[in-house]
Amino acid sequence: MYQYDGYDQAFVAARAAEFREQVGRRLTGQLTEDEFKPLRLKNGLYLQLHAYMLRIAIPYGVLSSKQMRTLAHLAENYDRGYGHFTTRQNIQFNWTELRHVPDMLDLLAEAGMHAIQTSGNCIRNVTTDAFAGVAGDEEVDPRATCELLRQWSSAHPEFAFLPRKFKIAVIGANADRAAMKFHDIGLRAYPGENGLPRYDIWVGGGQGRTPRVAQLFEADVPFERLLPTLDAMLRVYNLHGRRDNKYKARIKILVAEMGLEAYRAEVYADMEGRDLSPFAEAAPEYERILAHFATLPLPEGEDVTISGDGAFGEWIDQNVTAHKVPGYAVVSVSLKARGAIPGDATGEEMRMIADLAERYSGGEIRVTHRQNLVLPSVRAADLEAVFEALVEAGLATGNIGLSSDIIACPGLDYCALATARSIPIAQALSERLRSREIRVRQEGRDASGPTLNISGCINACGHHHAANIGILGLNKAESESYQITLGGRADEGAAVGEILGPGFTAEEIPDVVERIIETWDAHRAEGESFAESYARLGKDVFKAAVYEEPVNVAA
Amino acid sequence: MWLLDDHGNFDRHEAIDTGREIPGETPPTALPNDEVITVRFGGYADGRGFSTGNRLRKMGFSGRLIAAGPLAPDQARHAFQSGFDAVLVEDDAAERQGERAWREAIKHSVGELYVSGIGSHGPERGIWRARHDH
Repeated sequence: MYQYDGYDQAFVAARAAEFREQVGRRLTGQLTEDEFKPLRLKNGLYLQLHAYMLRIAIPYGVLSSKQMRTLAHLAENYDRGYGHFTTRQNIQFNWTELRHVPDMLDLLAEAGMHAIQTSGNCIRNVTTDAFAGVAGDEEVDPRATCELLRQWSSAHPEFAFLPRKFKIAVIGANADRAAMKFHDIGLRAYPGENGLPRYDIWVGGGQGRTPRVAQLFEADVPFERLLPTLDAMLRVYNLHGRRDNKYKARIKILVAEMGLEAYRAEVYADMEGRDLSPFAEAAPEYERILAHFATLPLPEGEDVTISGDGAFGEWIDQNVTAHKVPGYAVVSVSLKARGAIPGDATGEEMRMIADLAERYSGGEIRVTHRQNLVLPSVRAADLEAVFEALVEAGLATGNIGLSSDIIACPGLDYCALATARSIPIAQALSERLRSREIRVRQEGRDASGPTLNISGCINACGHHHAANIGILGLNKAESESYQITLGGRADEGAAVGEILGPGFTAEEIPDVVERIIETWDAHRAEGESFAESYARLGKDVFKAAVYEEPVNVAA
Repeated sequence: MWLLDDHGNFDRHEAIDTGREIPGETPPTALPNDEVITVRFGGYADGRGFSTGNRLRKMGFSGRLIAAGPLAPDQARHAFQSGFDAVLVEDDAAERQGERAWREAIKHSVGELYVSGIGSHGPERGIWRARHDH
């Protein structure tokens, strides 16, 4: 994995020192809260309902065991013993105090980490496929591009006060495991000449109140033109993106209002005649970065097939994926135990994962956009031992990719923007869906089901638009109401879900979701996924099932 | 009025030649022949002026470029790195934000960047250049 050199180390230390000084000026009143707000946001610090929340970047989802232990230390000493992994490969601490944040940043800097641009109207943490570098279907390892973009965008002078936040994701395989087309800019890397990739550049994806799947800006862009093109794309957005209404300020709205052709023309006009010497070192820098990722320090093992019964069998089927090196496996660790809060991990759990990674996975951990963790390179022969250790820690839930592997935002329990609770809904659904999955599997049937995401407001941090079943918490007439969308997809067939009909109470939601899944089960063709069935069947059959018979809720 | 220049000098002046003033949100489409241009930022969180500065330098403007508007000391480096020579600060802002904060703005900012842009007057050399330009 990427290791900081002296320059990187000095950079994050300087950024931490800069923030310490800014906090000092805020505390003495030299900076007003209005002035301080964009500065703290650019460093991942939000003022939430109960306390300051610090969001820390896990660039492209890669963590070392040492870094995970730093996060555990922060959880135990500056939070209430836990942290929350997010859908954009960040971790959030929800109970921090402003005066402690500079110390937290110093500890992070020592571990080669930071909170740079994890919020605010700037280029955010660049995300990717959590299986990067180990997936069998990968054509280009996207991590080197991500690190190049992390460096280029960090403390960028010109793009630090954009109309709105700006999210970039990079993938290097046909399968999209990073929701690439729901980003402001999405890159698909392909093998190119001399070891440098070529890219399809997608623009204008996003969720929020106006969900959009990204459009192709330009296909097959050579490496040399990647940064000059992104530079111009950002500049045109900075100058022309709307600033009169924050809900219309994302690049997706600019592209929709200008039209893709006109936006493209502006970008190319900006690029014309530019001196590209600032990017002259991009190729050698890419090669330098790539060398950190290039070799998997793995001796090829014997290609063995591991299978098992009961919980181990389910875990193997759901949580263990093929590795590109024979004899190894990619192990996903579910943070979605029955009734748990999606994405939450205690300091103790973080340490335990750090130890496991050190012992069995080259000291490396990944964070997925579905709020789970990954041990990327485990010897097949060690799978049983890893499973046993996870069982002991209560982290062996075999539900990766099943419906109980729910994405949820923190919702009204923490977030100042939320209009409804997300966490209790996720917990109730987790109970219901997990017991269904266990029952179905025991009956010898296929336990797979729709993806299910929950957002506590229209900002859609819980990615409800991009789920097969999306749940959006709203506040209607001063009470919570949950709206259901169906047919969304975050994968290579990216699609925005359609609203099913009027909303439900929190108590009704588990029955409604179960009814949708049963309806799918009844109409499903052999081997069909929920998304495929929905595309074939349409909304009406589900609508009838959900709305024709009232849902019974125990008083 | 106070002026912070890219050498870190921060001084009060009775009169400052601010040349032609243009709004940060509208970069000129043709090369201006003025000796001094002042780009007025629309708001503290409105970063269009940085891109306007960049565009002016890209089209070959070699005169003096001044950033004006409700900026904070923390944005000084952004201005210099986007091609500005100086930041104009109103008396009340200098007083409230502190002379020292402005005088030490560059010292307290991230001093190095990975990529140094064309026309940057910032303190950075560029980490990529340092790594590869032997």
